[in-house]
Amino acid sequence: MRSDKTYRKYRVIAGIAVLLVAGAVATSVFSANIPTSVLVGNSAPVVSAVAITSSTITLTAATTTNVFVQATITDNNGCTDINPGTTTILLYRIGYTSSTCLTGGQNSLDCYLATAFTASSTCSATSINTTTTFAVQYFARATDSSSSFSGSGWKATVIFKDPSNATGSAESGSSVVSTLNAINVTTSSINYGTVGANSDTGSTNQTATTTNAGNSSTTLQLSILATLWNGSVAIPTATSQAATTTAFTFSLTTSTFITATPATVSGFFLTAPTSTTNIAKATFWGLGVPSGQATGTYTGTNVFGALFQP
Amino acid sequence: MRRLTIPFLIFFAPFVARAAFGISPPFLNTDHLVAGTTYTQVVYLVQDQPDQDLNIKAILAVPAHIVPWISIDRGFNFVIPKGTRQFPVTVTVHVPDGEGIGKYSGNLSFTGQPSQSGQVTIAIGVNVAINLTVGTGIYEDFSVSMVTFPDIEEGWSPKAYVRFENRGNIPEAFNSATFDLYDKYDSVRLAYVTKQDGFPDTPPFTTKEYIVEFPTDFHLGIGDYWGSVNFYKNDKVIATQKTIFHVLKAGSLSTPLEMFFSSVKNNIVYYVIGLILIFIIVRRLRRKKTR
Repeated sequence: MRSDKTYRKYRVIAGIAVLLVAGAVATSVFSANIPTSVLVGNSAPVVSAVAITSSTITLTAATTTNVFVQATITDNNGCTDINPGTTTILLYRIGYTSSTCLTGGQNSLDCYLATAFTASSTCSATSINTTTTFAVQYFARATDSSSSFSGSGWKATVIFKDPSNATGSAESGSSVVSTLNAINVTTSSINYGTVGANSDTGSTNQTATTTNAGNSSTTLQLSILATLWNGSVAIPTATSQAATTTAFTFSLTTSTFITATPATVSGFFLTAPTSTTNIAKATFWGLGVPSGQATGTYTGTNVFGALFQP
Repeated sequence: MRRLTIPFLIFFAPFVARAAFGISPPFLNTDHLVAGTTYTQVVYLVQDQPDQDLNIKAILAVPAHIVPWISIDRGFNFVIPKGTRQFPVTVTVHVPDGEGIGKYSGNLSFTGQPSQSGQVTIAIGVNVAINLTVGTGIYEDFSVSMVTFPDIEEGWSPKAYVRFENRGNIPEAFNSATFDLYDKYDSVRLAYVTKQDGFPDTPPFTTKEYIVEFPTDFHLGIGDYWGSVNFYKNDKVIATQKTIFHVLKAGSLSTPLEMFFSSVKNNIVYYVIGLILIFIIVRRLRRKKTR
């Protein structure tokens, strides 16, 4: 009885052993090594938080003004995809459109394009903060309420391409470029020379050239801030200096005299510049000296006033 | 009548080529004033070659009735310091209470007065056209020109910087806002915050910049996170932003004092328990002494 039990036990153990050996043989015969690997795919960059730092852009007469565009660039592949990436930053008038600006329509009037930014933070794992500086010209088109492009505005668009040519882009909210009314008087001197008492400059005129230094059309107002003085003696203002936009012969009866009250110069109009080429116009000046005026050197101050003409 | 034959010189001394001078914007137009409101506008006097101090004289030419309404923060005689290309001048119009409807126009001029003496000089002037309309109706016009997420320190709640421009004649504020917080891959939402109050008013005709905090129980550790914010007014989205922001090490942005108060605020329960324990111990010690 006991030997039967023992025999059965041995048979079970032997069976298990056979199965194990067979399994081992089968595994070694039929199995193969399967290598494990993961291909990390490219993740497209994301551009966000694009902003023009000023909601109102104020330009500077006859020169450029720095305008800053901020953006955050993120790439889930990390800084190795951000640092060697390429970027295009556009600053443009909305009506001009980003596509026109991008495809070679760059001008200083409506569109500015940059291909590099300054990192304003270190690349932290997957993102970097950037700033781009644009030198915007004084004649860039205004978009405020009294301009020709009222209700529009300027925007920035940032386009970023990683080394695998995957692209991300975003645009900012709009900012307003303010109207700038500005002039420059480029004439270096006005010298009436020697004029006798009870005489005038006749048909000899001095010229003073005024240029438009803003982004709006403008007219000109002339006035006398300080009359011609020599110590305590003055030449009466009312009929001394005359100015027009064309050459003239001085006349007490027909000339246009400049007084302390600003007066708009008839026929003077400067259109808004569209480039750094000056939009200029001359004014012609003459002088009359009344009888009995004492000899001497007389000095004074004239005002050339810019007057916005929409 | 004897003619004076002795010649004399009227000598307009050569004046140096001068800097361009201008104003931006050259107008102050507002159509929606009502009695009791205050309107402010900044105009910039601009020049390209600020080589020396420039004396400025301002002259206001408006109907006598509204002269007391208008003031200039710089006064009517001031100096633009050497080196300043853009000089802001704030013009304030305050319509008195009880003022009736009306339309008013005028001019504000600024003249640069060159400092040279003994020479005839040419001064350049600029003008601001003033056009005011005083009415009675409510006028609403506002926009949000910028929303960004400033960097914060670990443990802080997310914040949004807002620039709110109110061009209307009544105060304006958001009604509510939502903030979604995501991980640095923008794939897992970590927190969602709604805010129903605590938004500052932006007074009429002004631009206000402020920070809105979104308190959350979620602890933000050092690293990058994505945030998505929506600001609402009258159930309408007024401003939205989605971008990444950085959470920095404690002490990176705040002063030691601010850190202390922040610590107290964040651990108020422990501080209170600690204080109670100290109070009990001190009391027992006192009792022992008295025995």
